[in-house]
Amino acid sequence: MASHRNQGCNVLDHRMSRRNFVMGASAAAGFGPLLTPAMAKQAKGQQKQILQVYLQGGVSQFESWDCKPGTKYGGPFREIQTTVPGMKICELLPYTAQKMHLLSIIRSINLKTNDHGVGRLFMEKGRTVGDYPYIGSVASRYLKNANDPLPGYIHISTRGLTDNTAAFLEAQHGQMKLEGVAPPENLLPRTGIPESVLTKSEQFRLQLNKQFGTGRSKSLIDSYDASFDQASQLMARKHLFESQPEKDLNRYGHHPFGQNCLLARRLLEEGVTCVKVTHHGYDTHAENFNFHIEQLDEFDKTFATLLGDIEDRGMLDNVLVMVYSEFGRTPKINNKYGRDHWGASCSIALGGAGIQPGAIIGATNADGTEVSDREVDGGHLFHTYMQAVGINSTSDHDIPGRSVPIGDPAASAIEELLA
Amino acid sequence: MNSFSAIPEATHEIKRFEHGEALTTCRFSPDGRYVFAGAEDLAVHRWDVSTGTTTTLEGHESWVRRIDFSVDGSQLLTAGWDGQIGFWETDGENPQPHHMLQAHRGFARWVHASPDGKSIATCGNDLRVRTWKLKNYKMTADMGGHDRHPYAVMYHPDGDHLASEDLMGWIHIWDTRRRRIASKIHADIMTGYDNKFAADMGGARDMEFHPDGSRFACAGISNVVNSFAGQQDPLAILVDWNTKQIECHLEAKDKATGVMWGVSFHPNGFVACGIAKQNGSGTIEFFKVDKESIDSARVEQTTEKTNDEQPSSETSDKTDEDSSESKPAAPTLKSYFSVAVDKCVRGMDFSPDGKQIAIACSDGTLRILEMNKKAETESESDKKSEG
Repeated sequence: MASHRNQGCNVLDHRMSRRNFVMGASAAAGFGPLLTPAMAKQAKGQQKQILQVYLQGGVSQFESWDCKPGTKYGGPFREIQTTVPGMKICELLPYTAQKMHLLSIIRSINLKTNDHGVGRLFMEKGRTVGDYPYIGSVASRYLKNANDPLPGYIHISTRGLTDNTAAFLEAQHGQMKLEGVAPPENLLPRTGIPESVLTKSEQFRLQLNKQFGTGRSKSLIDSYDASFDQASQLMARKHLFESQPEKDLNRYGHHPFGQNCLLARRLLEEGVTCVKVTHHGYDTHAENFNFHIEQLDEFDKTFATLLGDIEDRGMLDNVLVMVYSEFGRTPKINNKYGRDHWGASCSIALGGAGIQPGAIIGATNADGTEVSDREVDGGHLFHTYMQAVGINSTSDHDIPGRSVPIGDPAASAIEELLA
Repeated sequence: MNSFSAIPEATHEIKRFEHGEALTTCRFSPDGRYVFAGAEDLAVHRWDVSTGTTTTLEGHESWVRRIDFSVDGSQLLTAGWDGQIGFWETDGENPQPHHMLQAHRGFARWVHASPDGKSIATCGNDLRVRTWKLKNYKMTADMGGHDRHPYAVMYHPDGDHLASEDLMGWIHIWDTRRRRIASKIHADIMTGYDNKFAADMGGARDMEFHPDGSRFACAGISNVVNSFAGQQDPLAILVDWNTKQIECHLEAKDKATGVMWGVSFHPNGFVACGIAKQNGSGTIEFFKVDKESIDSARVEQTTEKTNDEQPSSETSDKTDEDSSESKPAAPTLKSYFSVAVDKCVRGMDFSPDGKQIAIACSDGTLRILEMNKKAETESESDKKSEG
């Protein structure tokens, strides 16, 4: 796909006409070289969005998307039939199995790393090294309607690292981190303070901002301002944080992941471009099987409910859904009934916008120790995500004076997965 | 007292049988002829202890983590993570399951035969505790009450009660006639929440009643630090049947990190526990659990606590009422003797004659240990004679 760069012939143009591809509302806002006016017109009102469900720590491919029952490293679990003939997944995912006609599986990922940090960056940035933006930040930059006051990239998690996800993109495209369903900290005005004082306080903030901006790049200051405004706008939708409908919670689950996924759906409904939900607890060096029973039991019904809701609302054509980890887990079961880090043969599931559903891409060998067919890595996945939502990942970032490819030129999209 | 001629301090390995996959549990057959073991494959494996002959029993679709026998010893009972209970002939050249009972939706964690030989009790990941007629495999009780997965269930020797323990350390005592919970005990020391990974870990990895029914033991973990890395302490508890109070905690004399996978009462009065350590090795720990030992541990613990606290009258906020309300913590008994094993011990069982211990190890070996002085070889005997 590297050869597609700077050829004047926009691959996305072809793809648009071929598949009647539609773009996000961001097209209307006009993000320069990435979108043609025709595409923008076509895309208006149908904003592409992304839902990332990150299974932090490295979910076991054997216990999820690539079962090997009865084999040397297969573990104790059986596989079950899904709604796609011939597609089987682990019995720990019975609810998700009933939604697999909406998703596809990639079973042939070789990340060539067993390191949490490197694996995570590869899966988020499509590169293992270098200062590049995360999927959510890229989506925010190129898919978000410039007039939309909400943040473009919200990450709901109960903990985790605070990364500079925007890299060289404007700061407002960095992730806004929400600690569960709690509202962002320090944004609510203090109670009991008169309106007049609050107004003066805001004026003072703007004055300081102006002073700070003297001699600094306007775009940088605008970017910080935009971030602040986005957070404020999010808080203007306080109902998202004040309470969650009991009826919905009963379906999603009252546990934190259930609450977080329900919030994710509501944020997507509000138009947030990329919502990422992290589910913790998959780094199972010990008791891999008991922990996967516990964690996937929590994940399965909640995720299937969320996916079903997105479909029922007619949003799935425009929402790319990703379920992924920073790597998989070792075939070999250690003496603590654990599986360790394994990036050489792992799997993800994805579906929705721009993705052909019901497909299985690639394969691992009989024991699951290595990829046997259609090997891909984080670079290929990144291109695939981007192109699924209509971003030409083979072009450069829209950064004046710089030529930075959006996706790694050494990799390309998994074409057969793109709808 | 020493009718079983068992001397823990003399424990040594006498036999080792190899299997290709890591073992998960093991049990002596009631006649002592065989040891059966589960493994990280889909089979149960039988070793003839005297000849070492191996037989593979195929029928489950998942791992077997619990093995039991009918009271008369003729039937082998196996609980699999496929939700099935297997019923097999214990003897026989090539045993086949004469019935596979789909006992639970999800995983069958445990099976135990009733003392009268007529029933079995099972529990599984569908949160149910069930009893079944051994004669026709019909369910006779289907009891709910555990909010999290029950890991083990055992009949009390009176046959009218069951004890089961779940992931959260809740022990339910069931009245099998009324088919309901008779009482609950919260062994909260046996469960923990891993803050970093946001998950619970705990529950009984093994359970056994004393043959006289006066107490039962549960083995597992405590002090969860990082369970995803196997960082917690192995621990067992003894529970007094009459008072339903935890009598004492059992801990290895040398600080260990890992899981206690086995606990068993020896006819001579001591208790042995099998441990899988985080570092990949294991131990068998021996405990004196008589009243004197427990009382002594309690006194020692109270003295230590008093010395540590030494509250002055000026600073203590406690009232007499508070003191009277506070329940004394169960004392911790340390093992008095320990046998090192170079691999994780994942299951253990005493032989019916009480002289041997079988241990299932993580390297796929089944080892037979004898609790007696090593028999002198002919050459050793000759040397002594010459001397």
